[in-house]
Amino acid sequence: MRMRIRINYEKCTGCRACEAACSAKHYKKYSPELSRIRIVKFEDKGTDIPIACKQCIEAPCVNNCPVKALYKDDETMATILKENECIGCGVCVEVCPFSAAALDENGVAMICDLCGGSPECAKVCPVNAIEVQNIEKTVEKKRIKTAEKHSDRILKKWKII
Amino acid sequence: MKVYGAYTNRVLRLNLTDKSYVIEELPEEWKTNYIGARGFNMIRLLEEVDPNCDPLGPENKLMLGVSPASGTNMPGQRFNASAKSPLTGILGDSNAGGHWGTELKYAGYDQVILEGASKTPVYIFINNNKIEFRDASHLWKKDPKTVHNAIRKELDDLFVQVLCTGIGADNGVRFAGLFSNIVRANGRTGMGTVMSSKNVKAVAVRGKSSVKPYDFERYDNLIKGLIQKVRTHDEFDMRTMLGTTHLVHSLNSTGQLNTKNNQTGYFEFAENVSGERLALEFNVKNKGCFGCVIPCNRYFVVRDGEYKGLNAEGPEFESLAGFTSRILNGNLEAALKCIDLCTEYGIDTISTSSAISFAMECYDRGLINNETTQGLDLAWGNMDAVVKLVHQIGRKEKFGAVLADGILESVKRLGKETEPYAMHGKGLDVFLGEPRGIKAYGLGNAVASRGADHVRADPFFETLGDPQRGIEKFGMAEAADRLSFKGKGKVVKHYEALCVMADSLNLCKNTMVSMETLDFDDIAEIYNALTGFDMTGETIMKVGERVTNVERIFNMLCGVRKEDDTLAKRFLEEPLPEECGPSAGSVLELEPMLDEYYKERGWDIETGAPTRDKLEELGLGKHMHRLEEVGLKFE
Repeated sequence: MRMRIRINYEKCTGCRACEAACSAKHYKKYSPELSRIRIVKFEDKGTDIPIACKQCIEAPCVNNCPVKALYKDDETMATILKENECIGCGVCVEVCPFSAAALDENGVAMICDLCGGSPECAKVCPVNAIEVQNIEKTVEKKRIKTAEKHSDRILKKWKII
Repeated sequence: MKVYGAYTNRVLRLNLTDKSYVIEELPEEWKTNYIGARGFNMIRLLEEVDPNCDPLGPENKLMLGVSPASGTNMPGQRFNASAKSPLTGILGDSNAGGHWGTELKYAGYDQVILEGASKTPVYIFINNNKIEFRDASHLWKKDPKTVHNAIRKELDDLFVQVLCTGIGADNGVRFAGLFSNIVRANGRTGMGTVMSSKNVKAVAVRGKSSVKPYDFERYDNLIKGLIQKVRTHDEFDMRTMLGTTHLVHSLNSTGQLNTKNNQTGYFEFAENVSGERLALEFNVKNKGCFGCVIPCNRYFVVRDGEYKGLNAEGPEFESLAGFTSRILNGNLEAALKCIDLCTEYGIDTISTSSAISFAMECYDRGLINNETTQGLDLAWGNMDAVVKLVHQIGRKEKFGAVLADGILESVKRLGKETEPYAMHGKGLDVFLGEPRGIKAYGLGNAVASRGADHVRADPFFETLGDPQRGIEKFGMAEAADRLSFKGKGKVVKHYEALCVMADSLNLCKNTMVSMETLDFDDIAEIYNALTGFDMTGETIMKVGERVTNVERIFNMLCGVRKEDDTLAKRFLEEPLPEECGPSAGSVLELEPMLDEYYKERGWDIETGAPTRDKLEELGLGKHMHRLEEVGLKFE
C-alpha cells in the first residue's frame, strides 16, 4: 500500500506531541531536534505549521544522494535510509522541496520512514491534523466522487431523482 | 553510580547584581523528597529566602522550576515560577503551560534561580550551555507580544522560547505575571512583578538536548497508556471543544457562578458569554501546551462589530467569567477585549477583574463616588469604564493606581467600610466559582498556601455528586456532595497532595486531577520509570504532604496564623440568594471544616501549625526552631 502523511495545516494546535513521539520511535529518547516532523509556530499570528515529508515518488533526496544511502521501500514507498552508508553531506536537506529533511545530532540524515507503516505522529495527534493517507484509496475515492456527480446529472435528466 | 534518569541534575543560579552565574548540582535527597518544579521551588524558598524580606528587594529570589517529566511525551507540560509574593507577602507560586518549561529542560536545567537585581534592564538568554545577560532597555514597559517578537528577531531564532513581563510589571502592578508563548501566563501572586523588580524583562531559552527516562520502554508505554485513557475519556470531546469555558454554563445552571462580586451565583446573561457561544461563533482552532493530547485552549477571531479583527489564544474560564459574570457584563466581545488588554499589560485576569468588581460594588453602595474614581462611572457592566480602568491599572495611573497594589491595599486606601466587599483570602482574590456552592473548594480556598485559590486542591471530585464514590474514597457519602461540609477536610487533604504532585511533575490538572486519570500508585510507577528510584503510592503521597508542610512553615514565618485561614465574611454569613436554585440558601460552614482539615493534616487545632510529630515524621524537624522564634510553641 502506498501511503503518505497528510497535513491539515489549519487544524494543528502546535502542541508538538508528534515531535516527542517521532524522536521516541527513532532514538528511544525525547527531543524535537531529533524529530522528522517539526512544527513551526507563529505565536503572534496563532498559526502552527507542521513541516513533514510528502514521500515523493521521484524523490529529490533519493535521486540526489551521492552515495545512494536512500531508497524507496517496495511496499509502502516510504523513503528509507541505510544509516551506515550516510556520509552526512546534507544534500538531501538542500534538495527537499518541502524542507522536511534534516540531520541528527551525529550528522546523519533524518527523513521520515513512515515508522514502517504506522506513523507515531499521526497516532498521537489529538485533532487529526496529521493523518495517514492511503494514496490508492484517495485516488479511488476522488474518482468515485466525480463519477457520482455525472451519474446524478443523468438521473436528474431521467427524472429519477 | 548515581541514578539521574530524566533529571538533568543541573541548577542554574543567576546573579543579576554582578551578572554572573553558577551551575549547581541538585541536592540528591531533594529528588525523592520533593520530586521537581513546585516541590523544588518551595523547599528552596524555605531554605534560602528570608520570610521577612521585601518581596521587591534584591534579597527575594525568583525560582523557575521544571520536572523530570518535562521534555518527554507527557501530555500538557507546565512549569512553576515561585518567590515571596509582593501581592500577599507570603509565598508566591504560579504555574503555566505552553512551551517555555519544556525548552528549559532541553537546554539542560531542572531549575533556574534569579538572585539580586540588575541596575539596568536586561534579559537573559539561556542558549543550552551558554548564558548571556543582554541589554533590555529598548524592551522596558513593552507588552509580551512586542517583547517576544523583538527577542526572536534579535537572536535570529524563531524557536527560542521567551518568558517575559508585560507593561504592568514594569509599572509595579503587584499582580503582574510572567508570559510565555505570548499569552501563557504564570498569572497569580505577582511573579512578573518580582522579575521586573530585578530589572529582568525576559528569560529566553533555546535547548537542543534530549530527555532520556531511566527505563525508556516502560515509561513510553506508561504514557502511551495514559494518552489512550485521556482520548477515550467521557469528557474528551467536551473539553476539546470548550476547555474550561464549559463552566460558565454548567456552574451558572446550578447557581455557583461568581456573579456581581459574589453577591449571587446566578448570572442572567450567562448564555451570551458562555464557552458554547465562544466556540460556535468565534473559535477557529485549538491550541495546545507541549505534548497535549486534549488541547483545551482555542484561538478566536472577532469578525465584526466594535472589536472587529481582535484575535488571540484563549480565554479560559477564569478570565472569561472574570470579565463577564463577576462584573455583570453580558457583552462577550467586550470581555474578550479586556482579557486581551490584560495580556498586553501582563496582569492577572483574576486579580484585575476582582479589583474592578470590588470597586463596582463599593460604587454601587455609595462607599466611593465619581470623585474617588476620577470620573469613571463604575455602574455594573459599564464596559466603557471597565476598558478604561484596565488601562489605568496596567499603567498604574489615576483610579487604577489605587487598585494596582492588590485588594488589601485597595481596602486600606478606600476605607475600612469597603472591607466586606473585598473577596479574597490572605490577600489573594478568589476564583470565579462560588465557594458556598462547592464547599471543598471553599475550604481549599481558605487554606490554600498561596492565598485564596482553587487549584491548590482542585477537588473537582465533589462536583460529580456520586455518593458511592464518596464512601469508597473518603468513607462517607457526604464527601461527594458539593453542598455538604462533612468529610471535606479529608477531600481537601487528598486533592492538595495530588495537586502538589501535578505541580511538581508539571502535569496538567485538568487532565490529571479533574479527569482523575492518575492516582498516587500510577504516579509512583511513572516517576520510577523516569528516574530509577523506587517510590510507592504511599511515599509519593507523603511528598505531597511534605511540600504542603514546607509551604505552611514558610507562610507561618511570614506571619500567617490560624485566623488567616479564612475567606471574605460574605461566604461565611450571607446565604446564596433564591435565584441560585439548587445552591440557594447555602453558606460556607468553615469552622467545622477547618477543624477536620487540621486534624487530618496532623496540625494543632489551636494554632493551625504542624505539630512536632508531624514535622519529624516528614523530616522537617530542623525547621521547628524557626517557628519557635516567631512565637509558636511545640509540646
